[in-house]
Amino acid sequence: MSNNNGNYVLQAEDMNVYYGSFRAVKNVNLNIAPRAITALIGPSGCGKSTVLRAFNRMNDLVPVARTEGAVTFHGRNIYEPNVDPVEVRRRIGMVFQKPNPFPKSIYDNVAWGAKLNGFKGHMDDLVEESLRGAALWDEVKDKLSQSGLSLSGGQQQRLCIARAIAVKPEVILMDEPASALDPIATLRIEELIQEIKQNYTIIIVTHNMQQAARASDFTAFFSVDDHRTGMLVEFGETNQIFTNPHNETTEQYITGRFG
Amino acid sequence: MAQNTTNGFPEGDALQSQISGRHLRGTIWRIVFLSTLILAIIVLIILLVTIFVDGFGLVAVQNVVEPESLVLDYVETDMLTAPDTIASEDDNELVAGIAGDPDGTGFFGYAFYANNSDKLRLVSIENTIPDDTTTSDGSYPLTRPLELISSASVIAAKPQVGQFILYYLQHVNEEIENIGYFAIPDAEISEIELAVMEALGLDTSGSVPMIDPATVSGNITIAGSSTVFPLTERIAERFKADGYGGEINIESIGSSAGIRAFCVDGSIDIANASRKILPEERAACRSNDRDPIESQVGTDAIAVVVNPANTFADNLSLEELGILFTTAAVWSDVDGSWPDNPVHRYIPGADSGTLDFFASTAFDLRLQDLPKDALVAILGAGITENVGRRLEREQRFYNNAVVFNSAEEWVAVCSSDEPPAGCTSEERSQNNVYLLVQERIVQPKILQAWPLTESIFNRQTIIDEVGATYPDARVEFRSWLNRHFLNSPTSSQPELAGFRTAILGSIFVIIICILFALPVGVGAAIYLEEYASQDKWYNRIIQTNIYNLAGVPSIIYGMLGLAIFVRALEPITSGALFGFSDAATANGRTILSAGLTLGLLILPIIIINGQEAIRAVPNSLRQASYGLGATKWDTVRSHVLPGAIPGILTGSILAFSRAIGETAPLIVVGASTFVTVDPTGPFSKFTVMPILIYNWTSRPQKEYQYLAAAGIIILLVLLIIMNSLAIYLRNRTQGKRA
Repeated sequence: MSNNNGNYVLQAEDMNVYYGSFRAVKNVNLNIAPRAITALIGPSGCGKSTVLRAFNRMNDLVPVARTEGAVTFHGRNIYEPNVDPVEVRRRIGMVFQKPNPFPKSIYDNVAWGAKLNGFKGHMDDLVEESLRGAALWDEVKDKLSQSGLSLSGGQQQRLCIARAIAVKPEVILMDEPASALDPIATLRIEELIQEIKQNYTIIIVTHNMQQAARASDFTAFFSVDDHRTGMLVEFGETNQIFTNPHNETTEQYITGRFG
Repeated sequence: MAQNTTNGFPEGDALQSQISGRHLRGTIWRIVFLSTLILAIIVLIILLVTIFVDGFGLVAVQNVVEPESLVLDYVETDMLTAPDTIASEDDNELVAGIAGDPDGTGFFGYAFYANNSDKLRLVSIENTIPDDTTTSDGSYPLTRPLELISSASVIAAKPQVGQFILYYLQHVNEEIENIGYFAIPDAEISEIELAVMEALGLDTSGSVPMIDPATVSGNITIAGSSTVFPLTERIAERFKADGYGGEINIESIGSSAGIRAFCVDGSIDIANASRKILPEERAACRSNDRDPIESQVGTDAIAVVVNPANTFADNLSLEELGILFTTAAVWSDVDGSWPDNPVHRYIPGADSGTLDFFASTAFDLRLQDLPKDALVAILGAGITENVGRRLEREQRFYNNAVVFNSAEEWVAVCSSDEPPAGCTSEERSQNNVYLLVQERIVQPKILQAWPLTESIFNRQTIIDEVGATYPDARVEFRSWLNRHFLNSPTSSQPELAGFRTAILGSIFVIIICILFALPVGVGAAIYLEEYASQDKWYNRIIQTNIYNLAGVPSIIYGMLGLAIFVRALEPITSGALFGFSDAATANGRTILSAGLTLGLLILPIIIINGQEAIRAVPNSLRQASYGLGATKWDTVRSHVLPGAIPGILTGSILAFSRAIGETAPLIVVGASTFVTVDPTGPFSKFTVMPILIYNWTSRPQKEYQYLAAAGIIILLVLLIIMNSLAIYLRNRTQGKRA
């Protein structure tokens, strides 16, 4: 699964997600460009997190959830029956809204996923590399054996990013990664995202429109219909969405008239 | 603030009264809650106090053999068998021997020395020479008081008794030197006289009236000490010679017998005693309305003498005295500055009271101080050969010798297929042999026991009561919870009964219970929480049933255990299938059945607890794990279980402490109540702590109640330890998560 230049990494085609009989999102068609930051924005309950989780089959963990349509990863539908969600998640990592480091040492937090996935190289180097990648190394290099829970919120979130990149995924999904953090920590996470964009495809859900405008290359705007079902309203380059939205709802949202 | 109520809310006074009304209601409820708390605390305290009150208290103990007499025998034997020792019942022989032997030494009643003081030299003991002063003030150690014991009630009924005692006191110092005893000071005699006069109803402020025996009538019976006998006899003769018309009957039966005849039987008027009356004897007297009046009439002393040619031995300490008459071969063994002349001992024979007296005063030995050899000898003399052989095979007495087994026997026994423990174990310690002597020879029997409160507040009454009912018993404080209790199996004799088999039984049963319930329960909890879909109707039914099972009465589980483990699975639970068929068990009523039954009983609790602990693991951890490409099992193994284990353990420990306290299901499953053999494995028959406690409380002998209380204390301590462990684990996890 090499990264074909110019081709899309992930594509959602007519994707519908149901929670039981409730359709949470409908007919989503979305193309994710490689090594770029795609932001998913929209009002509360518009299904942007559901869409994000559909990209690495995290919705499978919700017993009543069902996904229709296709999500192709390098041209292959990850919802095909013979695709193992474990492999999907190994390639498409995830960072969550609230920092959730394991109650283990900082070292083990980073090393656990790699060990699990059969990493054969030099673990100390991988841990250092990942922590450096997450701009955390200098702060924790002397206390790798301390619990990950002993770090501050912002540090914990960067640890989670280090943990995610330690398994060398291709895509990292981020579900409002800075929403539980203070402004300074938020800023550091944003800078970090800009840095790791060099090596990873990033899809980020955010509530914060400035953040989306500042930090992303593409923006997908979601909204809800009359049945409270989420849908993709407009997708394009961030610049275009924020300066010249084609859709009226998008314009209303980004100008703060609803949402 | 006085405004009109314009907006529907009270204002001003109405507002204040409305608020204070709400405060009042709050206060009332606070008091109600406080009262319930206080009630709960009081109930707890009462519970604990009840148990502790029964666990400790006074007991009346009677020994089959008194340890003092064992010590005395040992000391006397030691003395009689010392080399160069001549023992004789005839004091003249001793005097002649010492007088004719420059290295001779010996002892006898002071009277004999007094008669032969020209041929012998008296040795001071602890720098004291026996005379009237040193014997009466007790500074000369080898003394004993000579006493007459009577009581006010006897004197009131028979004035002649009081008159005789007064006469005795008035004239004893004229006669006592002739008998060879020491007089006590006149001042003390006067004091003693006062007590007798009071009993006679005479005016104690005036002078003591001289008794005229001619005016005394009525018979007098006297019995007791052989030492006092000659003195009393002499005074009695004089009493008669002075005109007494009645009969005086004097018997020499020994001090103890005399006191018992006076106090308990009430068959005599005066007891002769060559020792102080003991507290128990005093109590016995009191309870028979014979509150004793002790009248000391003189003091007996032992004289330690040497040949006049011996110029160096002037003084001996008690310790040196002990050495001189036991182990010393030459005089320099006693004191390094003395010459190396051999020691030749001339001492009273074994039948003599003087030897007893010397041995009991000169040696300050207790039974537990005796050397191991002596204790083994005492044990050997008191038990049958069979018992001795058995004890030796349990644990031998000496590493390099056998006592009760013959050497050939020992070799044969130890080379058999299953040599007993004694073949390989270390030899018994002195203390171990002492305990055997206690158990086998002294055999203290508890005649009666009292709870702690009575023991504290009614101590005197209890002592009096024991004195009256069991004159030979002594009253002592006993903790029913002691080492013996922890170390011994139960017994039909309360003083020998212990808790050991029950403690071991409980431990074995709970181990089986843990081995069964913990993995099964935790496994079920993991499946239900992590794998089973709550959307499926059958999973919901299972879940509901587990909740219901947790509330089923334990006796039902007992029936279940009886049906399944004891009956249906008997070949397995009795061990027959594995070739463990034990004739003593022969059915499924084994530790295995009990452990499995208790396991079933607490299984629902462990499952529910385990589920809660697993549910308490934050979902974000599972998501993080899956997000890294973990499988379900990776997630459960690395994150869910480690996070849940402290909670699982906390709940499980509480469940196991419930299982330890369970009685009903085990009765149904068939716990034996009387097991004296330690359980050896899962197929042993067994008893457990609550069953044995239950059994003890239903026994007629009151002592078992106290044993039960001690058992409950152990059970409680165990439960408190387990619960504390649970709390500790819980706090530790909370600390970790913070």
